[in-house]
Amino acid sequence: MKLAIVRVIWNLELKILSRNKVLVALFAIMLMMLLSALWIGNSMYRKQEQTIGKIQVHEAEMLDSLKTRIRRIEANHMVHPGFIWDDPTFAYNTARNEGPKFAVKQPFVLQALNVGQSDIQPFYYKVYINKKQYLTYEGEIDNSLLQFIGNFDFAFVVIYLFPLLIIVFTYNVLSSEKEQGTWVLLKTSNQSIARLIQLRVGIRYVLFTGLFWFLVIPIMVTLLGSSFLSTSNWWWTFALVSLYFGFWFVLSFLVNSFSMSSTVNAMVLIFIWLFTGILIPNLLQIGLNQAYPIPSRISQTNEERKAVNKYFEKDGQLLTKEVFSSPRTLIRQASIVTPGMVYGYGVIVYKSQEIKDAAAEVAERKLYGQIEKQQAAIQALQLLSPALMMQEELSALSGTHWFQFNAFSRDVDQFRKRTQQFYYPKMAYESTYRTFSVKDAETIPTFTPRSYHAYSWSTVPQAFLSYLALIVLLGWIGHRKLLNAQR
Amino acid sequence: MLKAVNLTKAYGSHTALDHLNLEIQAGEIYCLLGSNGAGKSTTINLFLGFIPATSGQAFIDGVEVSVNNQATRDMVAYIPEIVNLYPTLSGMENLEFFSGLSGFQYTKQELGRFMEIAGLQASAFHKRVSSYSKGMRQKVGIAIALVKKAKVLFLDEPTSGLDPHASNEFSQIITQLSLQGVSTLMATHDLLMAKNLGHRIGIMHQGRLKQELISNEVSHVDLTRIYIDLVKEKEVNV
Amino acid sequence: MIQLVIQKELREIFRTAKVVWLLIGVLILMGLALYNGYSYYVSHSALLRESQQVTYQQFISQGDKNPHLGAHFGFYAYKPTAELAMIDNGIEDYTGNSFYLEPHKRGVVRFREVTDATGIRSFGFFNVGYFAQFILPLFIFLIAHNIFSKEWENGTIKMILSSKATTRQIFTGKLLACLILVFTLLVLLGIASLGLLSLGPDSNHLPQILEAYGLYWLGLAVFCLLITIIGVSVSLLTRNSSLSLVSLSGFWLLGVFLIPRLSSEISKRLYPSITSLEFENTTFHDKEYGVDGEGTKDERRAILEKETLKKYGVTRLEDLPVFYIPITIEHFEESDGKVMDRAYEAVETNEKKQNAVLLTSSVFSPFLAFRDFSMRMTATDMHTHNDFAEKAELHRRKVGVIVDDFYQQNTVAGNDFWKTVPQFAYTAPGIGWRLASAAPSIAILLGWTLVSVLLMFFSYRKMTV
Repeated sequence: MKLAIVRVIWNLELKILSRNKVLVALFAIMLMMLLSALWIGNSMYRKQEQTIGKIQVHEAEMLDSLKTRIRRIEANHMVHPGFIWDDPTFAYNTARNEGPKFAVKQPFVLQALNVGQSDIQPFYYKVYINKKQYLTYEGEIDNSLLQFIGNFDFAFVVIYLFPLLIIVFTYNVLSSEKEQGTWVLLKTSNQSIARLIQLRVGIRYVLFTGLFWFLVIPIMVTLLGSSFLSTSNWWWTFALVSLYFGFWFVLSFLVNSFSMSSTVNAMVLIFIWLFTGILIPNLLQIGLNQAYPIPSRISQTNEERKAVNKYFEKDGQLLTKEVFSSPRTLIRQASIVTPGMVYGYGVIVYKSQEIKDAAAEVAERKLYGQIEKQQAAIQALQLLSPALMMQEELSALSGTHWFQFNAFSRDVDQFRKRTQQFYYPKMAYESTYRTFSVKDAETIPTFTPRSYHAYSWSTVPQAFLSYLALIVLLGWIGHRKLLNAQR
Repeated sequence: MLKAVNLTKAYGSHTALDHLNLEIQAGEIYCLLGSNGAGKSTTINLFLGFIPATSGQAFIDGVEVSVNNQATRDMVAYIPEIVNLYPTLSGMENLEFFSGLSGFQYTKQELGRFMEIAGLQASAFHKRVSSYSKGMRQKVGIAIALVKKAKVLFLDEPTSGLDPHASNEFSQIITQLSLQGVSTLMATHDLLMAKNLGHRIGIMHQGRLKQELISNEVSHVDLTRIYIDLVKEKEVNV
Repeated sequence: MIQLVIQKELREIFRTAKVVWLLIGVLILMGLALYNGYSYYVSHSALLRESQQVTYQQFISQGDKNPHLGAHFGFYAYKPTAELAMIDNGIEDYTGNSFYLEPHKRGVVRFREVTDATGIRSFGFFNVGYFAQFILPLFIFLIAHNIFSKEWENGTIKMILSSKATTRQIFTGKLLACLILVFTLLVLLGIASLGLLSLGPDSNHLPQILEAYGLYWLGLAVFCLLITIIGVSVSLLTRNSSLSLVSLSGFWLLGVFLIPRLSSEISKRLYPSITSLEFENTTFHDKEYGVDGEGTKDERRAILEKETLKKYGVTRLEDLPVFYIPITIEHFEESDGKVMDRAYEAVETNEKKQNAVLLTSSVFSPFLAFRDFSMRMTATDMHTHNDFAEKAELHRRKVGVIVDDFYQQNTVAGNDFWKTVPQFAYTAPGIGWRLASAAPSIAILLGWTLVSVLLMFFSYRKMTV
């Protein structure tokens, strides 16, 4: 194909596309959508960052207050003027009051593109010895209905809306030639029709994708700064999105090559969009839930409670009696809280928590195991649904995948264990239960933050390659069909 | 049976039909000749009530089309240049549907007879229309007109693209109908057909009825000359 | 005449291969939706029903304990799976349905299933509700998009218009043809759903279920009617199958995805939720330092002590005829409760405002209005959820009072005492309540029906060559 031909078609395409008012209007509307999606994603990201800033300030304040209060008591011959449950020199009290530290998952900058699970999974926990989340709410306070409705982010616009725009862009690239009668003229020209149509679709793809990034990248740089440009996550995102657009262009080319009417083309393409984007994920969900049912947290709770009850049948019973009925711990039962009582509660909480944790760990391992199996199946079946593939990989690249939140959650579990190991010896021994000092306050374990946006566990390169192969295959079939149609 | 009084249709500044005055008797076949855009189809569309007239009136059997379109529709049948039918239905099913729409109840046999009169072979009755040739569709179109027992037949280039044999068959049916008292208004390019089939011939140009001829009184050669002169003359004037 | 048009349309529809395939596909999807909804419903309702028994059983058999410690062991209040969750499970998986009943802490509903799910969950949950809200309208549009435009494309419009049939008859015939198809599906769906509902574990109160389901089905019928009218009218107005297909699927996309998501974002901007951290800090502050100048907790504690001593005419806590700790617990349960109530109410009020924005936007999307209606009729909506949370919280406080009263006299509670604490049971509000709660979306749906009828009159006047 000579360059001159390319130029001729390029000019023709530019004319045809720019004179189609509906198309121009649609494209403009889509861009507006995209911009608002980017803006929305960005402000969600900023809000999380702000919250994290507030957490840091809050933590510093808490530590200061704790140290000041300990110092005051120490200066006052270990007499706490207020309520005994607020006395920070009791390790158990500190563990409940000012002690709990926050564990934070710093959002990755590309989260602005893809909310993923970041709206339903907590990105910070206040970690307490017997609870992973000490805050009233398990995660951020978010309206369940709005979560159910779903997010309006860049990924949504790109994965769902842009394919439809591409369909509108290309569904009649060949059929319109037939319908307006220019087909015969093309057939009698000295160019291969297969080539011509390929070229036209190709030019539309380059125009479309080029314009898309030409607008998106500067806006992203303005909103997020340019640091993301140096991450491989970003370049994979760039490649996958471009490939995804390519998939739809090639699919449309293939559908066109069957030489059906424009309406049938449009119907087929919309159907494929619906089928792969909405139905397959849903059907997959049904199948996976049958194959790997995810146990409910409710059953997990039942198990934990059963374990605790069992403990209290004998050992726990003795311990309680010892703690609550010993004259050493009580002056008069249930009227005045004594230091011994604080100690006793600490012991009971520690003991029963160990039981609970052991039961929970088994249940949770099973729970995560099932989700992981589902996740593995999804990765294996990604070729069935480009929309699903994109959602999975884009969220992996933006650090908002279930896997990444789960990694964070497991880190938090580890951190809670460290926290327990720090407090248990102090609160559950007679010699130490009321010796919590400023030095202890300074050595309360803190969460070691790390970044979770690594994607080596994911199938990004495989997905890219398999879709690339699929695109080549579809393009080849389309080409063959056109060559046949020409005869 | 058909009457147009100063019938005019304008699209903005363009006058598609200019003060047409025309009267067609029962049983008469009237052929409208003219080049593309002369106003032939506009005339038919106005009689059918598909488009509203800018001024003037069109009457069918004394009923004004714009006043009681429903009543005039009952009296007419229309066969367009290309008889478009529902491709997924068979010829018979199409006929059944349209006869029903016209308010008639026929048995399958009766419908079959109409098809036969229209010249369609019985073996084709139950095939899907998508497999029909143009001539076959035309025949279904005639059958639809027949079942309706219309008093007036409007034909828009009915024989263009038909082979001579089919065209001849078609002419015979129209003549038959004329003998039964059906009036026909036919728009055509085909001078020979107009001469042979029509009782009267009207030549239209640029929205105007230029000349009316009685076909028995004019030879085919003369008709051709008159037609060409009329059309050329005006073009020079323009 | 109309009958004739209907016959012909149906004949054409059934002879078009793609439509037949579409129909088969839709039937399969309908079956899957029913199956998936049913198995969800059966497993969830069994789990919750059993767990409600188990958790209470665990509570009343926890043995001898300090009453307060035992109260902390607590038990759970579960929101039973809605009887119609088989049809539509609404936001159940997003709200969670477990409410922990323990002292001091006003509960939050926990264990949102959606947090223990893969990303695939965000594609929605396939049941009858999903089928009716997403798939069915699109199917109707696919059936109706060329019901008129094909007449222009086939060139048959002139033949039809020159026949005896009036435009009204032609329109009615075509509309009815589509409606017959749609309503056949709806009737099938209705019968199958009823069958499954009567098989389900809640079949013992079938009359109430039937009442709610009947109304749901009626709403679905109205929704489908208006969607069909819009589809047929647009097909007539555009006279071009591609254009009408693009317009109708655009309308679908707008109504199903864009408007809901966009207005959800707008509502979040207009009424931003406070963060979990802020909630914690403000409620902690209010509890500690009091509101309206009532003094710090220590000050209030001193006052309480003085008043209690005075009430019993003694000078030392040790001399009180009752135990003092439960008195303080009870006292602060109340004052903290007020703080928490206020904070939760603020959260709820804010959410209500957000939801109102969303509902308002359904003026532009009949799909969203129907979704709202569907959730409210099946009692899987926010409103019902809040009702549950409120009742569960009342129960929590009731349990608190019972335990603290006992604790004032006893330091050890045994199973005999635990058994006196009542079990929790929640029943979703009745049909009148649901209808009242769904009134705005019903009004919007009826408004859309009116709009579609107007569109119909407007379009059939345009039926010319």
